Amino acid sequence: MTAQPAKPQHWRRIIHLLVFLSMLIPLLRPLGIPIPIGETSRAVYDYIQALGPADVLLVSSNFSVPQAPECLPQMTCVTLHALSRGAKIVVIASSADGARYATTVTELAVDEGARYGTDIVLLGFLPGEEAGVSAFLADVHRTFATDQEGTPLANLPLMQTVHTGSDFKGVSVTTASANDMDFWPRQLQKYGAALIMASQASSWPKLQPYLRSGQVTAGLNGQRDAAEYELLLHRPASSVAAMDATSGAYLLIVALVVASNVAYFVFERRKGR
Amino acid sequence: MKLTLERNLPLVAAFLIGVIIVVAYFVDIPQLTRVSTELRNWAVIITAFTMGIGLVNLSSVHVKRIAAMNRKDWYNSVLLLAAMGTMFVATYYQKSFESLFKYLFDNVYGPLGTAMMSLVMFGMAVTCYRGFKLKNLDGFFIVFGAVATMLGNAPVGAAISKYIPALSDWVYKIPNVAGQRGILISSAVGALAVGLRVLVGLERRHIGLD
Amino acid sequence: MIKSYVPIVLFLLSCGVILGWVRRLSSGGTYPLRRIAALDAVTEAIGRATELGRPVFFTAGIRDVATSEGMQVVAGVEMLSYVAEKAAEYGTRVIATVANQNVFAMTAEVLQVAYKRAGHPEVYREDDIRFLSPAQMAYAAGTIAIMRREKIGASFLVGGFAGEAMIMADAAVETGAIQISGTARMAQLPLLVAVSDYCLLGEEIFATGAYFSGSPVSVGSLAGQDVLKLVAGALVLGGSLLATMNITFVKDLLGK
Repeated sequence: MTAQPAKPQHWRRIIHLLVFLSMLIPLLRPLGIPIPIGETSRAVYDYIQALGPADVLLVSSNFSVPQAPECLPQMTCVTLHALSRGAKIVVIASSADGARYATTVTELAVDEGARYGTDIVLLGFLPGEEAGVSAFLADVHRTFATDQEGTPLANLPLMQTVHTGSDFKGVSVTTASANDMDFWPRQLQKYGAALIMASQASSWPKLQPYLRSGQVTAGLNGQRDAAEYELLLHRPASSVAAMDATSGAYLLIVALVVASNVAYFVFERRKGR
Repeated sequence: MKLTLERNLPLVAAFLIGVIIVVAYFVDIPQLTRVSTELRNWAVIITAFTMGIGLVNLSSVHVKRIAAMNRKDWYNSVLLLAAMGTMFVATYYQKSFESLFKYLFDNVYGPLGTAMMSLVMFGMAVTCYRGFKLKNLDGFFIVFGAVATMLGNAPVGAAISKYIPALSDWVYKIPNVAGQRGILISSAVGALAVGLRVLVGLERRHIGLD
Repeated sequence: MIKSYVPIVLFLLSCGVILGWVRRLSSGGTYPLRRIAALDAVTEAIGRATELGRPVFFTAGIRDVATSEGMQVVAGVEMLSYVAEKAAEYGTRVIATVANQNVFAMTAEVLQVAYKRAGHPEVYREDDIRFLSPAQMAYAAGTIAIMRREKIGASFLVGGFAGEAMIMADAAVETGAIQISGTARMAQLPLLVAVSDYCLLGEEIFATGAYFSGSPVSVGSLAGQDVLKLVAGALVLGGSLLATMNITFVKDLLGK
């Protein structure tokens, strides 16, 4: 049989339109569906809540622009919460786009009263993925001679107490890359720091084995957990605002699955008989 | 001699460097650890350097297309080079062009990237409609897992029933972890085998040798 | 000096098993391989593209070879060499997109050699290997544009992918191409399975060499992997049973 090119499929366009409407309508007219607090966001909240002024948290920004709507609110919540507990923050970025978001979060922290150099330091982009992280945790000052603005680390009070991975009480990695879930636990295990991973929803299944084994202390699941965290901090923002649209879209997809199965059982199987 | 060097030098270099890094991972000898750290720093430098090579390659391809003028979409190459040049200048000279960089990143690059990512949602809806059918037991598990985790990932699930978030959690923690661990173990073993073959030079097809 | 003996012993034993099987098969042994539908479909896909007069598309993904997922990219590029050889025999072009320079160099080399091996070096065109961008969505947008513009007849997405995999596969299916994909990245596997006509699941992408060439090295390596998986399975089952009876010897030993 000779191969034929595909015919246009109008039903795809109808589904695309329905998806668009299912997200647009709740954004324009919020439905106000209540957002319960789950155990995953509660676990991260409790860990950060237990931090104190003697603790240094490493925050790694490793997501790109397409994942920013899910990941940036997660990183923002964790950073601002930790600062509110008096913990100190060192910020790095393992992706090129992540460096911009690392800057955004640092600027936000400084706007809210954090002292740059004492409470928070932005070191900047760390290339090389696992190799870069491995070298960084082995010797922070050798990997970064200056911060992102060019200030020598010797001039930053916070960096006098941070030299290797052992000096971090915890590490919070906000990532869209399943790759990070493999190498961060591997590289961090000899330093003993707790590992929090805030991930995109599509990477959440990949994180489960590490959560179950304790290699990752706690995790945040995409925009839903970001919304819950915003509510825990009494700072509802973009994630909370997006929840109704998310609910609308998922309900539509469930409806499409039901509809396609009804059509299959009523029409296609009948044809087959 | 040239033929032998060209053929064997990459293999020998890969072997030596690979052995040093692997041994340093397991054995704590300060001198070896220093060499291994230095080699990893070289990997970091090479990765950063390849970004520059990519930039040169892209520029050269599109300049040739514009110069040839025999493609009807040559204007796309002009747009690409203009956008690339603008973003490069704004990022490299960030201190002088800070507001331009922020504007371009937050208002152009950001929304464009997010818009492309949103296509996944449309594709997923079509895929769910087309593929999630209860034809057999496998189909049932796919539909069950998809519906449970989707509704569990949005507040509407808890609004419909308090059992949905618990069900979604169970799907993530039990069948998902079981499947993930199985694939994780076998993929890790597969990667070990391919890595070992590359390390000892048994695998050469990816560099154009037999 | 030695941080822990258990990982070293396990690593050396694993290497020994794999190399042992490679040696065994190189001396004339055999090992049966099960059929993998996605690999069986490669010839069909290339044949279909040839009938339609359309090129074949290939990408090994967005990941760099110098990362922990580098082996998936290597496996993808290895598959490209077989696909390119078959396509060259039929006189069909292969268009490849790459997201970073390391993979670009490998892809160019592999394509040239594959065409020469097939006896059709004239099929190779420098323009058929397109470096797009390491940025995920820019890469996806460029790839989709190429798929539509070139009206591809078959699409191979085999290697290390991130979220862009699904939209690229969906775009390929929309153009009417047969879609064969494969990755060991678990987050993308369900999406690719749902969209593609055929999908290589996880470790199956590492079986390409053995499948197509039947070389003792590749088949021996697969045989070694099978033994290691059996051992891993036995450790999981045995360790779980013992842990249930409160005997944590295996768990403690492997946790060192």
